[in-house]
Amino acid sequence: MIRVAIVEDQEETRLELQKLITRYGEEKEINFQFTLFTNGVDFISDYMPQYDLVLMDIDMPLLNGLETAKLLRKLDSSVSLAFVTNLGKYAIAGYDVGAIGFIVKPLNYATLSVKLQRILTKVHEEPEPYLTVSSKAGMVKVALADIYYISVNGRYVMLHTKTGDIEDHKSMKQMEKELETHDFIRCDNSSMVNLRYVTEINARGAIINGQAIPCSRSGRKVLMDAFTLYLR
Amino acid sequence: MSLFLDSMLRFLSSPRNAYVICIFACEVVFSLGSGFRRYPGVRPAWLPVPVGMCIFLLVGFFAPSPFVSKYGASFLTLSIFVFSILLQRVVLDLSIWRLVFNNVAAYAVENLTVNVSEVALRSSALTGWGKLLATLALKAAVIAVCYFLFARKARHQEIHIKKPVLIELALISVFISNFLFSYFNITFTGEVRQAMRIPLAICCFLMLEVQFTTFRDSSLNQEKEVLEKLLFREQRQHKLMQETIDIINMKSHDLKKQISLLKNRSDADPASLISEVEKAVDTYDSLVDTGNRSLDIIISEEKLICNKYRIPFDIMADGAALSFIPPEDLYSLMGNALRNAVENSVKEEEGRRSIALDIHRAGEYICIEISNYCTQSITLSDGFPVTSKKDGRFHGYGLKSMEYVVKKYGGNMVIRYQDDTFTIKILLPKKREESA
Repeated sequence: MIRVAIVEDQEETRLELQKLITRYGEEKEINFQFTLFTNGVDFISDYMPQYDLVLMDIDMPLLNGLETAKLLRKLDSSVSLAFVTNLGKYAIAGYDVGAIGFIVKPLNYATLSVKLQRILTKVHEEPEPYLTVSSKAGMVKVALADIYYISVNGRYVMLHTKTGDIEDHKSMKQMEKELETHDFIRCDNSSMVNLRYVTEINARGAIINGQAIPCSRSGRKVLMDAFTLYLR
Repeated sequence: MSLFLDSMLRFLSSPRNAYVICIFACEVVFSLGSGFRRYPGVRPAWLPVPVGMCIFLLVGFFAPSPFVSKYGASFLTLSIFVFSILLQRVVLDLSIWRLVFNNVAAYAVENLTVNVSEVALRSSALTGWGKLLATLALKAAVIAVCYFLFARKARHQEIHIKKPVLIELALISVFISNFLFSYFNITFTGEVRQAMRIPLAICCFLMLEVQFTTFRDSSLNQEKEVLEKLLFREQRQHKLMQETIDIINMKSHDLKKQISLLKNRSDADPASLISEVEKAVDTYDSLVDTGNRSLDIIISEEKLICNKYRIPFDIMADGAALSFIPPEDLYSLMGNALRNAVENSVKEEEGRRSIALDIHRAGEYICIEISNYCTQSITLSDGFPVTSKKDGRFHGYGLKSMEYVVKKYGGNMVIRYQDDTFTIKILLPKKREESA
């Protein structure tokens, strides 16, 4: 389910947006949950990060869309934000607040569905995946988002996480298989990195928290391509 | 003590061992500059290198040779050739094809050293240790010369030689010459044999020349491709300017007509007339402002065309982030990407067209993403779309031009086609490291 917040002062547009997105959801079998706001002030007061996508009108009285977006970003840096506008000139400033797209009025379903298709590829709706680790200390659950990188430790692997190093009684090959769809890349015979924490890839290897994880020639190419697609 | 020295002398002088030492030295020379493979749990990480060297020498010196016919030596050298490649594949971070190339060169150099040293020492009266040391010195000299002539330049460059050519080189340089030389050695003796050495040496040298000329040629071919892409880019730029000028001419003609109509109307309200003209002019007034004048011009050109063909074009661009790229490279990069998106969008039905441009800074990099809605299925081969146009040689050069610029600034480009969306995603490092 994708939780959408629509911030739009004109009632007609507000309802039209909801209708069209619902129609898109029916076509693509995606569930949408809507919360509607008539202005930026209401939206931003008592804001809690509980949305996957925010559709923000730019031209609103009191607090316009761009200003509201700037305030939003101070509170929530990860929610996906798209602007609704009929003013072409504002199109450029959207990058300042990390907007992922524009929906231009007047709305029409065909163009909107095409835009939504692209926008939704970037909206993350899955709950945080976990890894069940079996180590000497027993079974532990580790959030994938907490793992920086994984290295080989004898016959097993060592998970280097936010809360410390944890050994997992699995082989690197098993680990690779288990994590293949989760933004983890095998860059070398002995290392696997979490794209989330890679800040740079250079001659020394993949840089995570200032530390360089070595990459083989072929591993670096694979990692670089995956990183290129991943980085937002 | 002298017994030990004697057996050492005999050991080092035996044809097989002399061969192993020499081919080992040649292989090392052509492997200089390459990285080694890392293995988990191996400490220190460079351990496989000396271990590999020891294994090679031990196998070379002591492994029993099952081939006892008079062509035994020939089979031995071929087995060592294959064994070397396999062993190096385990130890060095190089592709099999690069290893084939390196070992073919090593093989030819070894041959050359033998022929040269035999010719040089033919009439010398040296024996025993003197002869051995002189031979080794001569061979070392030849290897050093070959290093400076051939190995040094090819050291860090990638192989661009097509695989069939590499196989052809290997077959001729190694397999065929191997049998040829063995045949000579077996069939001819004494004076004739000595006389054959000079042409054989020249032969080896020529084989090396051919091999490395092919290597240089394939790099030159790459450069030629690059120049052709630049030429293509210039032609496209010219065509683009033409279209833009045509559009502007058309619009200014329309405007002139409007203005003359307005001049002749006496009943209309001046304010509304003026606002009509303003509206017409508005389409061209600062279409885009990304903070980068060159980028603005490139985007404006495409936006005009998008307006003409009714393609919604979303722009979220931090142009200032690309201020370090000179206009012509920026044009190659962004112009090609956008023109590509426009050409593909036009093929879609009206109302189902969409192009988006996103340029923003993310950590150590600048992210550039150009995507367009595209329902015609695109197959990617080697990271690039398979071309279908009958345009011939020039098709696909737009994207290749882009990749050239991206690589020039140390970045990476990935093309993806998913969910009816064609996306080009580029990462450019913020620290500007240009590589020619």
